[in-house]
Amino acid sequence: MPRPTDESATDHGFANAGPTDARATDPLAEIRRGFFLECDELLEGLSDALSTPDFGNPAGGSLHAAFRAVHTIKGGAASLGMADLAAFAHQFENDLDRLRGGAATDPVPAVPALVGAADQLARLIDATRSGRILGDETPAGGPDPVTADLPHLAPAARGDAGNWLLEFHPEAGLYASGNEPLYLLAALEELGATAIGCDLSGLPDLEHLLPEQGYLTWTIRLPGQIEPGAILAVFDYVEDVSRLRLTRATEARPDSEAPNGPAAVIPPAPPVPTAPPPSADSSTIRVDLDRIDRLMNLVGELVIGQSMLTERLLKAGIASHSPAEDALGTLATLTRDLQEAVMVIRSQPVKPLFQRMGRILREAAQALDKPADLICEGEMTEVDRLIIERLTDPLTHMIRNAIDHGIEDRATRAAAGKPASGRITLAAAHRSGRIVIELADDGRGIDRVRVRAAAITKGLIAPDARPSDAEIDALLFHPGFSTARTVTSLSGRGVGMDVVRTSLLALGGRISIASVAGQGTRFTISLPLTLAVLNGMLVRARGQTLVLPLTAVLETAIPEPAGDDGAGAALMRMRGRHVSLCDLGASLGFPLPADRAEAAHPVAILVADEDDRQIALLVDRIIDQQQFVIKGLTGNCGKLPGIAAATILGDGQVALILDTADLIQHAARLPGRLPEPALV
Amino acid sequence: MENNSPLAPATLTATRSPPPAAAPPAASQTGLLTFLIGSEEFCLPVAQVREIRIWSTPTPLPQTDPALLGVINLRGMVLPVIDPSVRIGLPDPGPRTRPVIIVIDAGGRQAGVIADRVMDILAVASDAIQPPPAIATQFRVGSVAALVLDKGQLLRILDASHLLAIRPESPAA
Repeated sequence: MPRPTDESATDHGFANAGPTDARATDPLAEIRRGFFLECDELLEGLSDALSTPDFGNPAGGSLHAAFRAVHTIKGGAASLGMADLAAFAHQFENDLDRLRGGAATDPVPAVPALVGAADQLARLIDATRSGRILGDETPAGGPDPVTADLPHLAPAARGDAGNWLLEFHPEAGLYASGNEPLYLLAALEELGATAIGCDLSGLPDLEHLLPEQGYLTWTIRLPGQIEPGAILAVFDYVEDVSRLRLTRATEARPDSEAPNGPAAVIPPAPPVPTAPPPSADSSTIRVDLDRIDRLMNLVGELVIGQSMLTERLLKAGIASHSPAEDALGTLATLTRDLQEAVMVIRSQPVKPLFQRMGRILREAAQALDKPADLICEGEMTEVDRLIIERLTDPLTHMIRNAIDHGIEDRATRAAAGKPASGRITLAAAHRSGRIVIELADDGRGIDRVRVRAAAITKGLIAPDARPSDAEIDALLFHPGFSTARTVTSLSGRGVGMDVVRTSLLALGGRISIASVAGQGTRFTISLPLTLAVLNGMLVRARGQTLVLPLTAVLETAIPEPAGDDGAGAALMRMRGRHVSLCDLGASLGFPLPADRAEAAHPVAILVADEDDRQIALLVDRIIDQQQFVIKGLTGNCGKLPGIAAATILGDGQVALILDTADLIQHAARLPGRLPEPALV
Repeated sequence: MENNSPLAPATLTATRSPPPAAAPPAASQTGLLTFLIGSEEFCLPVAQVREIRIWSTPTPLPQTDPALLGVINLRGMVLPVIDPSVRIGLPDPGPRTRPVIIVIDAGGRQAGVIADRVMDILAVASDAIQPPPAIATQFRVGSVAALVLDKGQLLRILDASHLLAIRPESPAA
């Protein structure tokens, strides 16, 4: 239906709205976001297609899949006014199309170039998404040699005054609302349309034809100097009942898509759908993360409600083995299953992350002239979406490091009898309730003599220290440590591995390293499956119930004070070392409860922070070990010392989750209580 | 009368107050929830009140603002609970008998406020709400947002964002 003039006037003019001026109020912002989300999926499909062995065989499906992905990106980009992206995708599409037609002599050598072009397309999409259009320099710095192999794939010159190519497909609603396409075409002719064609390929047989339906697609060519806004203004009243696509046709190329004259093109064969909707073969839906979080909250509440119900009914007294108890058990099982099912919704395969790493690796390998292949394993391993997002930066660092420091240069590899191309393996797997990601290279391994020398020079270890191999390897994670002889553009700034470790620790992860000289290095990252649930130990201290994250707990013991450190702080001997004994309730400032019966048999819990500084926390009692749903303490509470978050217990009470690193930090700030760092 | 109250009229619009049956149609009305803190009566705009809950003991937070009593579980959300008498500067009311928790929402931030007794819901004309006098009162500066005279009784409207602010000023010496 035609909308009121004022309303359509406000959302019109989108063709002028470049990606740089996307504002929150922009009615197109939502569409644009959807387009970029779709692009991610399409890029994934494109990358899949390009990596199939029989790619390039027109009979195989992968070439068509690649073509469809690029075609959809082109269409979306053009309709959203992203001219650079549309132009590049258009040329890419044409190249794929030529392969599809079998015109290219041998498509196999072209595949690496196409992979490069796909990388370039991904960079362009990233740049457009972040509102930064690729300017004169590409992000890799200088012209992209991969793209240069395919001269026609170089990004189109900006300000290209190619003619406009407008596709106009009236839908049934347009006819139903009494609009006449002829008037619209006449208006375009007034604007200066040079050629108008009609695509009849959508027409069914006469017996299947429904007269109210829209089967026709019009293709209109317009001179390039016309403002896109002026063209789209013609369709102000019908843009919701028709499909419109405005692209810039490049003059240099014969365009196989658009008929050149006004003559109707009648296909010789029955119409074959060339480009089915891209979502046809994927059975996924996109859901706002907020909605899933809300669902998670509700299920978390259900779990609490269910355990409260059970607790109260048992207290009120129901016969054991009664049907009522049986039903309670069923409810408990169902609730737990439901919670697990909801957790799974938040999970995603690591595949897009790994594919992105493939891109990073190719860029780094090219910049350093060290050819390397990425072998991915366990791509379908699923992990919390948030973890995948936050893994991108650390893994990028590590891939670049592996190329820069791990893989040797060509001459060294040849001398060592290794294949010219380096081999980097990225593997993901589930292991005992956590996800384990391994990054291995077949490079030179860690040069421990050099690492040790550098550590002594930097004063990280004493000159006479005899650290074990593992301790030397661990030095790579020390802040400010870097053995790179020259600072390259990719790595070697001495922040890499330290930052990697810090960001992984923030995710509740750990990283370890293993290396064999001359054979390679293997990093192993272990992460929790979700950030929403925490394995913890429930303890009591001064009448309060608190949760200790299990990742920080090393062991528990009956406290046997072994004197003090001379400054009044108690010490105890655990694991062959003296550690400070810190009364948890007192250090959090809780008042002593009147009833001290609970504290008759205190327990010491040895905890460590990421630098392996240890303290023993004195608690009254350990209650349980279980999983806790993490609840953020809202900004209304301010920063709380020693507290990371909160959780809700089975009885509905709130319990605080401790921040052990902060507790240790706090203990370290007190004079005379500095726990020893692990290596000094 | 010109309404130059610090509370924006939008937040005071009587969206949830009972429909003014007998009032003249032009006058907009504001719903006010009145309650006791100790023995003093205060009120909050109904639009800022989400619900009133029976007392549940908050989990105390370590080393924090003395007005912040702790946190409670509000249907899965961790809600801070604030003692307004500390914030306003009232004398310690001593042990409470049957307090309630008024859950308020100010600018998207939620918190519980302890009250000793909930009194009434009143509908007052919006233009009868006046800013508090500039001269010093017995209360902390900023804690009272506006005053309103209703049937000969002076009501003090608390400033919800002042109540919710953490450590707005150093504790009274």
